[in-house]
Amino acid sequence: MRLLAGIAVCAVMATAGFASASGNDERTVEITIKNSKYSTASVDVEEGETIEFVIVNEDPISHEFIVGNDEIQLVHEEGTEAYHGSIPTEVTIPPGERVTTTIKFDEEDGINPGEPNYYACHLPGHFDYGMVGRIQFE
Amino acid sequence: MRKLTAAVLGLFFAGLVAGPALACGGLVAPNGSVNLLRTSTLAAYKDGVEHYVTSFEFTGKGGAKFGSIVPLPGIPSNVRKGGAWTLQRLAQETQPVTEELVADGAALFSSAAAPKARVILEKDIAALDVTVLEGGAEAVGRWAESNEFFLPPDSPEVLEFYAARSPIFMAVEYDVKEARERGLASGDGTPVHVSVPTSNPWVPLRILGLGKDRSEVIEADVYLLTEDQPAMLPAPGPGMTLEYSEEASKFLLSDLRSDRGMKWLPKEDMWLSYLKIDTKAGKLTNDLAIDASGAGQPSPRAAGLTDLTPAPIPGGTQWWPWAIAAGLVAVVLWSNEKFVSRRT
Repeated sequence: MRLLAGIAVCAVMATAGFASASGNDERTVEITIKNSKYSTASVDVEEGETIEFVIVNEDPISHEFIVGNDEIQLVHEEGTEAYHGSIPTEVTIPPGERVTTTIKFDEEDGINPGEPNYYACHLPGHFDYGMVGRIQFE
Repeated sequence: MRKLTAAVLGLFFAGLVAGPALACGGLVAPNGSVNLLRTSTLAAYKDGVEHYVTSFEFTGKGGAKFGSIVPLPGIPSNVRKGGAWTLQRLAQETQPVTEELVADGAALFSSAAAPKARVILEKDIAALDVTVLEGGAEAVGRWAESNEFFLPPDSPEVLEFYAARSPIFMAVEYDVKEARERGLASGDGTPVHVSVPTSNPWVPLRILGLGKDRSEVIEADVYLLTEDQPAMLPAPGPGMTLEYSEEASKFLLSDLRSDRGMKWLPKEDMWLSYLKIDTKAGKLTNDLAIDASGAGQPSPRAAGLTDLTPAPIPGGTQWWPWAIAAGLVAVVLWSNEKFVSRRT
């Protein structure tokens, strides 16, 4: 399956340095999207940590920032929802805009630290093009 | 002296693309599985006006609509239904053995800075809704999304590639439902003729790889019709071979002139070239620039090859203008020196 293959590739990608870390306090992580690529291949988080993501879309087309495990990613890869906005772990970033979303990385918010989690874009062809990054629990 | 008239005829064929990652038009309708069978394009140049005749063909299967975006070198002065047989006649002239070419077409897009596209012109041609847009990549991207199209993930780079030269794009939507109501069958095409005043013609090639994997093979047929043997950039070579290069017959020109909207063509003294594109999408990173002035200096900028110098003219027959120019410079310098010497 393409999705799983993509995730497998992602899992072995070098984990790029990422944003600012400040212990257990809420911190802000900025990710830029340019030419249908996220600016970082992974985000290091601590279990229970709350992160404010600022997603900056420098592209002339929309992109998504979907956070979750394999199951969540698969649902969106096969889904037809054109726009996301009301759920913190599922957002759409229109062309040239920046969107802020705050995610708490615990099971309460639907993130299980015990399994692989990712952030990805599932607009047609975007995941296969490489728009996926890994959530690394420390 | 011959008139500075040139025509560039581009007819694009590429492999059939199935599924949502529709390549040729660069636009994908949600849940659409329509296969754009072929987009054929003619770009012709005379008296400072470039003429595009583009034919869109389709299989008629799948979603309700699909479309493509074609980058233009400037604001069009006219958009109308194109001739009925011009592209076919050129193919017949240069490819006498009929090949079954399954293709999808050239599609270009725009990109740029303006957040909102300015609609310059809208026109319905048969089942086609033609919209000419002015704006940047973002403007065109927003326009596409507002019209329920998705652009493929490689579109940002391609949009910027074209928008750097011109912010004008032509978006064409094909309404399959209306096409059926009009009795169009699978494989039928609707030609569109666009006239664009511009200083020099160019043929968009990079757009052919839009939405395709870098390893996918791109096949395209490009026809050039000029008053002299044309100077091209990049020069023909591996991946873009010069298959035909001869003076166009009066019979051919007469046939072309008899088609709708083709009276601009001269009756004689035109040179017909046929280039065959056969290369991987990942290597198709440029367009084809043509020098229509006769100076033998195709623009690296128009080709998207800003670091390259103009390629030599195929056949190497146009060295003499430079020799004459060099001679004139030498004479002027010599005369000036004599004049100065006399005064001093």
